Amino acid sequence: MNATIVTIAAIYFAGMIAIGLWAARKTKTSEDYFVAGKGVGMWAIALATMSSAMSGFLFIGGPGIHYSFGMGTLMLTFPAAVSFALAWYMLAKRMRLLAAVRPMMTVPDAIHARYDSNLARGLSAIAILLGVVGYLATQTLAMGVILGQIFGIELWMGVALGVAIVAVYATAGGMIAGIYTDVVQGGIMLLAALITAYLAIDVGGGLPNMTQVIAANNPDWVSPWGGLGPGVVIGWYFVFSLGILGQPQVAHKFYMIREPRRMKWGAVVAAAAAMVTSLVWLSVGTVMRYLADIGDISLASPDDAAPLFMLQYAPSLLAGVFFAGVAAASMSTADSFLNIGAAAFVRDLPMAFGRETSADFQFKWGRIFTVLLAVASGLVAVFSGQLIAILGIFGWGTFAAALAPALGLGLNWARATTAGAIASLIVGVSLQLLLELNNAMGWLPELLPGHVYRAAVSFVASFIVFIGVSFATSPRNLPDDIKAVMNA
Amino acid sequence: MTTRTQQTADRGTDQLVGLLGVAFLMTGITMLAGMTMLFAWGMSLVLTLCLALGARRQGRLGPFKPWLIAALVVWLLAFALMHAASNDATRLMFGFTEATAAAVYLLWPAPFLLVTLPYAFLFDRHVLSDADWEAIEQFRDQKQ
Repeated sequence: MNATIVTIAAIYFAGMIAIGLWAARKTKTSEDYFVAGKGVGMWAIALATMSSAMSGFLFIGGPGIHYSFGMGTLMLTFPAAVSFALAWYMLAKRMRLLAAVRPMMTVPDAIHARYDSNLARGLSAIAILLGVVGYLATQTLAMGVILGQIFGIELWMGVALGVAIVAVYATAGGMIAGIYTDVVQGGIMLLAALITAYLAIDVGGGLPNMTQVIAANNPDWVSPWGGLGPGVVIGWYFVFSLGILGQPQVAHKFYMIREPRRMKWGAVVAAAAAMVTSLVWLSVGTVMRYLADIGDISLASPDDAAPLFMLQYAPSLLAGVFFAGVAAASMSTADSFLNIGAAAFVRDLPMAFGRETSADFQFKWGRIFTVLLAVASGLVAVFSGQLIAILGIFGWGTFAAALAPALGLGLNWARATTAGAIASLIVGVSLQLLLELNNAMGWLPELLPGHVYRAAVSFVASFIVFIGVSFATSPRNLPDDIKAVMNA
Repeated sequence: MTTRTQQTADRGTDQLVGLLGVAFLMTGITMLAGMTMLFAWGMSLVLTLCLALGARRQGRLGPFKPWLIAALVVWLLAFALMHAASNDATRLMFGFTEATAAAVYLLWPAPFLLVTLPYAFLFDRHVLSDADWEAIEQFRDQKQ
């Protein structure tokens, strides 16, 4: 790797650690550690929400599957235009007002406040931990791969370096560091995506030229469904738009907004940033397919599409920003999940068993669990072999199926019942586990037709169960403060 | 809000969620049956109803109503075009085949323009006014 790329990456990592050390001085309580003292401005919340929702997959896996399957894969990125709006319409105001009337720090806190059930709180914490394990392991591996490429070191060393950097700033500065590193990381992602997209379209001689050349070899590739078919592609659009309602890394950020009246522009900023960042997926995936079709390149693996394009066609300075952007995307997702995972261990699970833990206990053990989770994710990334591919499937879809109905519908519908929330949590998680594990392990013949996106099935089932059981059971009388929040 | 008005609003929300349940059911059935156009339209209805549920205040959609109707119409149209328009690479529209152009130039930006932007513009009128926030603050102060 050349010196320019290494220098840019080194400056970026030093910046992240500096933010962590700055945030450490501001982090004095468990509220600071887990929800940034509920004092974050609108721009920071919007950019942090965007960067934690858009993982390293956007820069590496995305262009790779676009290269392989074509235009249909864009339906994994197009939901950003509406998903952030859904989060703001259905969650932002309710979550922020909840934090005004009750001591809220985590998503299971909101579930408990709404349904007054330790079982619902515990199930939501378990669902979150399942998703956190999947997200952390894959993001850690992605960090290791990209750092290995930047510094020319082995995978385990890249993983160790990435884990060390994230663990230092996430442990020292908690969510304050998480938010402000996310802002910087979001900015780098935007810049890298915008310039890279322009360069990629230029290298390919413009979109019409690339489309015509690719279509001559593979007409399906340029269709709106790509090589995947409409069923899978529409299922993606569905789960990745509405599924945002169950993403804890998005939902808990609403607690942190300093001035609720200023949150109005948050969805616009987050969605616009995500849409611009998505251009890298479309442009790099398309130009690499075009270059492969005209015989200019040959890829050993689709995931090499973006790194190879940057190394062969981009100036070193841009390649440096791009590689920093990839690391940024992985780190911004990883730091959020370290914080959420630590909170599940030291706050949500003990409280689900009726054991109140003190703020000091949560602060101290939150830091310890952040380190433990970071180290564990590094070990899983290096030593788990095929297990990481299986863990990786418990990400967005698990959160969506488990939490979206209880949180998204529950905070907007007074008739929703505790039984409905518990039933949907159980059905969402268990069906998602069954379908994905069966597909990965091959225990039974495939349970669903090939045109169906598996996560969409558990997602739809969870919503139907939530609504059906809520209508079939009696709602509880809501406390006055929760009623006031839901009627506002 | 009076108790009677609140009860009317709650009944309206129950009906909206009931409709959402039916929409989810139809979406699930068409998804499993491989009826992709109906699946896409059912999903569009689900998304619109969820947005409507989030936008309702005191039983009213208020100024959000025309925007959400427009978003639903555009979703239905975009998915219809993606299914029906030409995928001939000799007839391109701004760099994409006509069917893909419907996705890139209609399905992608339209929700941003019709759903995301209106949230910001209508926030003060219908989402959270100064008076609403002051009422919550008073509630919090009373509790303390």
